[in-house]
Amino acid sequence: MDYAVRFEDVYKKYPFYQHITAGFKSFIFNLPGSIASLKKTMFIALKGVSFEIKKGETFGIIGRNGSGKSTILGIIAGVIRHDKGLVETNGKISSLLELGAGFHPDLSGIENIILNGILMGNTRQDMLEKMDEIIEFSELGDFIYQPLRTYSSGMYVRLGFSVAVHIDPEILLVDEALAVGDLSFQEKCLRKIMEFKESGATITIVSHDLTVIARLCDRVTLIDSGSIKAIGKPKEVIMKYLDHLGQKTDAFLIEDQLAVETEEQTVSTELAATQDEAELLQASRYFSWWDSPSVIKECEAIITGSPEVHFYEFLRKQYVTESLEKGLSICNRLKGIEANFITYGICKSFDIIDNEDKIALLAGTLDFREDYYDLFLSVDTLNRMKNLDLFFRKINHTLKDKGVIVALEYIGPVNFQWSNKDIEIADMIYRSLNNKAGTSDSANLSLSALSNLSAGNTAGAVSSNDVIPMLESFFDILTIRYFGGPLYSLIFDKIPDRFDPNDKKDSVLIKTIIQFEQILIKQGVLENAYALIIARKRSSE
Amino acid sequence: MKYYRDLIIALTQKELKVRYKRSFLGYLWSIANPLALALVFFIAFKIFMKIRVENYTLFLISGLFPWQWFSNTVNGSAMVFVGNASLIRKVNFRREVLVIATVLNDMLHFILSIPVIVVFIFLYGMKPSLSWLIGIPILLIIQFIITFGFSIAVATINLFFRDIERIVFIFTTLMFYVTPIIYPEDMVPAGYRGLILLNPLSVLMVSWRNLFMKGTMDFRSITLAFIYSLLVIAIGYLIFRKLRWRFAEVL
Repeated sequence: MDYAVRFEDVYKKYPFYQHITAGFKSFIFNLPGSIASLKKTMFIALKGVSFEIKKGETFGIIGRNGSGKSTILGIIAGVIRHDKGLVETNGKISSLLELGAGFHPDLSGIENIILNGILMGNTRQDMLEKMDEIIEFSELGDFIYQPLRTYSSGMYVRLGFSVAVHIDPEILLVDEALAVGDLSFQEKCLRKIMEFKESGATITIVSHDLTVIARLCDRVTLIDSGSIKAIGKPKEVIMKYLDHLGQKTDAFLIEDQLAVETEEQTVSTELAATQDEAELLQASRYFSWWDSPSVIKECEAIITGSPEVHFYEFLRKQYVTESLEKGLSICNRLKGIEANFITYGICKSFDIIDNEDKIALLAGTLDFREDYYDLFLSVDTLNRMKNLDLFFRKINHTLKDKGVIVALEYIGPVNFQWSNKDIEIADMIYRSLNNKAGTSDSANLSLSALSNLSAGNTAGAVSSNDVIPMLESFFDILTIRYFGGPLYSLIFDKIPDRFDPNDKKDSVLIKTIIQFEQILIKQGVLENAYALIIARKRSSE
Repeated sequence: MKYYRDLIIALTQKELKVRYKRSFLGYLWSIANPLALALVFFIAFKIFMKIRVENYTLFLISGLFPWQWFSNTVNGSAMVFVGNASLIRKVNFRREVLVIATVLNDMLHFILSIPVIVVFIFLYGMKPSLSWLIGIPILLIIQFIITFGFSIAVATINLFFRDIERIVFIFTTLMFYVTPIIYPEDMVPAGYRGLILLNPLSVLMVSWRNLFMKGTMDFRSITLAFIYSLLVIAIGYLIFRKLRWRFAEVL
């Protein structure tokens, strides 16, 4: 038996259950209809799928949402049963389908490790033996004795991943589980999976992250509406998938990336995230006007004072002499900004909070560990805090001595009003970008759309004007760099999806807007509303 | 085998820990509830309605404690599968252990409440009987089986019809009153006696009470209770087996 998993002509259909789960009443009152609909509304998830995963192979499954990827993994894992066909598995299976499934918030990390491990098919003895290794891998330190409800979401998944990879499976199922924690932990996870690979384990990965698929898999299959469209070498199947989606731009990026990959692998098989690679990763993931080189230069000039000085270099050279260990990031919209901090050696790793509810909680009850972080990064969140004073106090506690705050925040007037002329200009800009996209009908920027641009302030939150004075009462402000006003906000908020970073015209337009606004600000027509603030914890505290 | 033992122990431990993690009086609460109920019934039936039963308090609690085990588990079981959705969707393990852990957990509470019964026995000037040593384990097993049978059926069906949760609550409340717990079985009019025998829980509860109060075990009732429990578990498990592959789909 040289295969680990074998599917032969596998069918799976799901009835639509809402008729039943909607409740007994609606089911009974609608009995004939309900029964008829039970028979009719079947969703066919897999239509005769056949493939074989060889022992020791890393097998990727890609496809759009709802194409049947997760059903396949579910069937391999044994939580779903197929209707027709043959499924054979050969070896002990561990699934990273849902990290931390079965974790209980009231139990401590250790208790959860044991419970989770046993649920995944190990004995208590096994788990006790592996305990030290798991705790070390999770990087949770003393937190391991605390109940899970005190963990951040990053810590939670880190624990889940650590348990899952330490139970020595022969077949490892991975479902989008690699994007956990901060970038350095992600690297660690990938490395662990590579170890598995080398030790001869069979791995099956379902992911939307084509970079990961390309990097890890020996063979890839493309699934679409329940049947296999392609199966073969990663690069070929990925290209086919991208063609399928009609995403040419991304395809080029992936190709570049693959070129980098192969080069690198010939030099060394070691997994090291080079700068290039990380940048490419960024580019493919966080695609917006911010990524256009010419625009970046323009912004760079405003923030750092020179178009030649890179923003992150600026941060690193001026304020952080050696790279910091651990940062806490609270970002409302710029996901992945932490990755750049890590890439440029400013901070080694981050705990990330990017969930609205959690951010709201922060000012209230959520407690941080004391003296834990070297850096606190906040993007567009401070002016949303209801109890900023208390929040700063907490941040002050959680930062190590001489810890640094880096904040990109709106600090302009609370009730900024657009004049008619402003709206006219903004509308023109907006239209010019819009027309290009061919959606001219709805290309009218209304006053109401603009009014919510004026400030991020929500009811009851601290007035943006007070952010700096409050900050000053806890921290020493090292630098404030103003970099834009309402127009900047307009581009930032409303235009990203209409802007094509590869289009020269678009780049020029946005560049012009940024310059135009700088002039207006200089003349006092507009105010500087956005600022980069860098502050340091007072050592006397 | 060792694995399932570990799994069941781990899950039961979890339930126990979670239940009392943040409560100050902990285990006392599991006794407080049936005791408070006993007090209410004592006032209503003994003082107001002057029911003629000797040692009525002891009579009440020796039926109420095992009943609490049954009703707590069955009522709670509705959420056993629904509440563990993420596990069931993603991890392959025998789902019935979740139910077993719940039943065991409430059983443990019942066992821990037996000393309270002993206290009352001494208060009424009686003594525990040696027959408990055989009787208690036998009845524990029978009640475990019957409770598991009901619970696994409820837990399974609740995945498909969420209404079952409410229905079960009404069902256990009704069952409580048609089971001779607050009244002795011989107070039931002769014409209805047969119905009591049909109630799978009556024989069990009466057996518990006789064991605690008189130290007696009636072979016939215990056999009947055992047969009932096998019947219930057979039906319950059949429902579960029939539907278990749909769990991950409906959650």
